[in-house]
Amino acid sequence: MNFTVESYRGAFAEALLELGEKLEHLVVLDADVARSTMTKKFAERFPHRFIQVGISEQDLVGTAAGLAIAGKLPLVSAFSMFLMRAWEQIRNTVARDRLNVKFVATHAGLSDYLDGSSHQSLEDIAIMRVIPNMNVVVPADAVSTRKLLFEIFQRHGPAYMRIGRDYAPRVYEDESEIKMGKINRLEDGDDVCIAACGVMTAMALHAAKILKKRGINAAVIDVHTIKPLDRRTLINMASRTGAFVAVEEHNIFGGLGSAILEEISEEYPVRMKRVGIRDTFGTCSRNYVSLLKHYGLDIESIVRAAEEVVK
Amino acid sequence: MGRLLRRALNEKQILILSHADGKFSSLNSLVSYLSEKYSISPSTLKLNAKILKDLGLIDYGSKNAPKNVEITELGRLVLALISASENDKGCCEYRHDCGRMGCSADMNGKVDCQNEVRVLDVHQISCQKPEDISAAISVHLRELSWKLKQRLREVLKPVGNWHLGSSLSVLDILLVLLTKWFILDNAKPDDNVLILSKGHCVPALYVILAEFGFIKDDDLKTFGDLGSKLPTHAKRGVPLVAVSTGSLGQGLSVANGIALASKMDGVRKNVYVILGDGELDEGQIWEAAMTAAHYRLDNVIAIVDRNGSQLNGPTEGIKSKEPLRERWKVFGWEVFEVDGHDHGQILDALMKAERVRGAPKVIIAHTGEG
Repeated sequence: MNFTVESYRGAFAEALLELGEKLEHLVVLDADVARSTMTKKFAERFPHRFIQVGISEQDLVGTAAGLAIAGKLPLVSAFSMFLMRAWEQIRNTVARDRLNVKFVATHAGLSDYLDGSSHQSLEDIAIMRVIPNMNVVVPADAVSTRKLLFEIFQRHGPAYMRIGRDYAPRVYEDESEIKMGKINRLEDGDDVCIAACGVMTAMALHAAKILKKRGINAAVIDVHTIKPLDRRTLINMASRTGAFVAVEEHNIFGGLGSAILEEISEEYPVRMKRVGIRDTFGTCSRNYVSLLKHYGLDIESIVRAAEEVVK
Repeated sequence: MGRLLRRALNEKQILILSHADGKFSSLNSLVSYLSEKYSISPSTLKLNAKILKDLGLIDYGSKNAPKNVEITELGRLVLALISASENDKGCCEYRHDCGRMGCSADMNGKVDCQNEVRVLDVHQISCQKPEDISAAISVHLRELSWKLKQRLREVLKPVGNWHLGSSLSVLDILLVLLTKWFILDNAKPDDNVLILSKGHCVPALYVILAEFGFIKDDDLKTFGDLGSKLPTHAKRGVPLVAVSTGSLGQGLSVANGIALASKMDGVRKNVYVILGDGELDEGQIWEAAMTAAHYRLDNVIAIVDRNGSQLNGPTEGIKSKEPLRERWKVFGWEVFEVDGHDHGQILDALMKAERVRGAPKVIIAHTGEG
């Protein structure tokens, strides 16, 4: 594999500085992880627009809600797993009032590989996307992290953006167009559609190349916006290919695969395989890629799933 | 608030108000007395007296049927409030309020402000005792409180007295707060923020909002029904409800956020948060208490409705809250304690709390649910 890899967090931190210049009401909130989420850079550049609440995620979310009520543009950044302990605050205080709070959760999926299962967030997409008014985006790489960060500020209301702690292989060019709510078709093909999000998107592209050599034309789509889901493109792909593979760094329950199934099974049911964490917790590892492989999140698994589904 | 009232009423009006004690048999005799003593033109005094009469603060009959110049109950209340703030601040601030550059009035109440010769009179007013405020407030609000509690019972009866006790215990607190906000301070809805962290007490707010004309009486009858404008728990969109609540323990964090934003914008805005004593069990309250103290959010005023009871029984039986004063204190808050049904005490605490700078404030209001 020959990849250019770039840091999710680095891209986020840089884009945030740009946004800080553009949006004078942008305020960044932190619960003592600014060094890890890299919002520290924002804190250094705009100290008066950075609020540290200490290790208290529930208070973090509530405080952000207050800032939004007062007309600010609060961005909450935290480890995905620990933001989830404030799920109820996100639901009841932020989402019910459709407050304009943006959440950027880092260290998502298995990307906090060394810290192990307590830190690995494999359920967040499921529990965020069931909240009414919430938007959920999962960027595939550094370029889309930057672009989608700008996108979520274009739309009023709460949004949850999920990025990894680590590096992601580059999927997009700097000038690629990435719009929230619109699936990006990365590879054309008629035999099977591989739908991916996050860091798995690069692997899906590579799997498509292998499949091509084996005579299977696989389409690859990047479903970076899990909510609102681009239903039309999904139905279109289902009718074109008749077979789906969903790939995600998340529990197979409630994530991207579930979202797609819910949508297409009502209108155009097709055969489908899910590649994801099979309802288990993570574990620690010294190496991210080995950990992904351990749970079947690798190119071979995607290829195998695609071959099975087109049989 | 005293300062606000003093702005709402000019010095001449305060002077007239303080002499409207029934001793003058007509407006003309009062005007000529004041005019001579303070060298103010009679026409200016008459104009100001007319304004006071229109505001319902004094009465002197009509041109054809003149009466002794008497202060009304409302006038007495206003005067007491002005004097209460004078009492705490001393007269110097009043004199500095003369608004002229170069005023060199000293701090001892001596009359050496060249611009305002009426200082002494106001100083005399300021010597009224704090108990006077309590009495004046009580007269004004006692009946209203009784009426609103009756209405509250009517509103909640069709829904099986839904959280009636919790609304009854907080009603006087809200009544004084909103009276101060809208009548005494003459402020607008956006000038302050109210958060009902114990969102199930919103019926108490509804009956007061109806009394103040923010919502319709008819809407009260639909409380909690499908499609009603007045849901059971506080919902953003209802007048004065800044944020939807219902899940306990979340209001203080939101208040902090609003208070922080106000500080960033350099806007002076008080954020009042009504907390239940039961919801103090929630950890988030104490997370937020630390945040408010850390950022010295002196624009946050929390009021704990200390009714001593929560869903499953007495608060001290479920999980003890005491020593509550000390708990807030060590978290870095300025603490006040009042009888939550004594309007004068509540008002007094609110006024004192507003003046404290550099720390968040909490008023522990001891209440009953009856």
